[in-house]
Amino acid sequence: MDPEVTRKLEEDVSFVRQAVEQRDKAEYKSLAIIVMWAVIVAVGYALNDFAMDYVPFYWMTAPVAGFLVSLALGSRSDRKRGLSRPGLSARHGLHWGTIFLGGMAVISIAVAHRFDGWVIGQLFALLTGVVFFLGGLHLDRRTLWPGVLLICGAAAVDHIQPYPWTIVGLATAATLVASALWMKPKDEEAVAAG
Amino acid sequence: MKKPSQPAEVTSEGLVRLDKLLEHRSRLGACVLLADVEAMTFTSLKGHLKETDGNMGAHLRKLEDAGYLDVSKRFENRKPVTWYRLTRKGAEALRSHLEALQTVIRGARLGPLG
Repeated sequence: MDPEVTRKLEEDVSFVRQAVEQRDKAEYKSLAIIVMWAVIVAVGYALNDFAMDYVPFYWMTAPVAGFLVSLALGSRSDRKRGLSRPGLSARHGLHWGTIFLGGMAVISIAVAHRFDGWVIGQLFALLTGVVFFLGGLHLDRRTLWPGVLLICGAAAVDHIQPYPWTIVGLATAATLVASALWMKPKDEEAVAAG
Repeated sequence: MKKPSQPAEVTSEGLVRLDKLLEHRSRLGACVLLADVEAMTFTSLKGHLKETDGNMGAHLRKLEDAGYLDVSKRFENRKPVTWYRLTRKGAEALRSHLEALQTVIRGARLGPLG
């Protein structure tokens, strides 16, 4: 076979791979959703140390609002990029919705076994960490390391002093923002990706 | 059917199965980009594939004429936006073309001596 033909075919495959990679990288162009979740996590965890009374109300409302804003921002960003992906949006919805379902299970277990607020907080951190980590593996790479940090933080709060929850919350928020900045496409890639 | 075993046989079997319409990188790229999303706009496809308006339009028309793509026009913010979607026939053609490409490249890598 003419090696020229093979070389051209390989170049074409490489060109197409680059186009797909560039499109997928543009996914990480917007920081708005990640920064919003970093704020939600940092404030929510700090409340555990400074205003325990507001914790249940905060965690029942802020993540729901964040979830809806994320859906709106994600769909607006897709429209701007000329993409329609209802299937992927549904997968995101189901994945992150697991935190709410798992949260209800945690509350039910906690009530049945009379866990105190501290342990409930740890279970929530563990649940959120696992969902972040799996989200990072399958949907959005930026939540991978914050997930690992939350899982470790769930156990570490027993050993950190003072303000253990605030420290874990701030560290998770910082990791979220750092991951988002790290994954953000460079200027020239962003321009090419539209 | 006898399974090709020699590199030359592997390669020629793959070459025969290549879809002529998908041999151009922009048409192949458009189908690959559309394969894992519901739809993409003309502008988005053109940007990712680094094509001019005229060339992209011509490539997409060929794919549309072959029944590989569905096209729909909508108004967004009072501007007409053209959306493209890969049809079932297009997805099947793409799958078969990629398999053939894999066969050709595998055959070439085996080398003349196998």
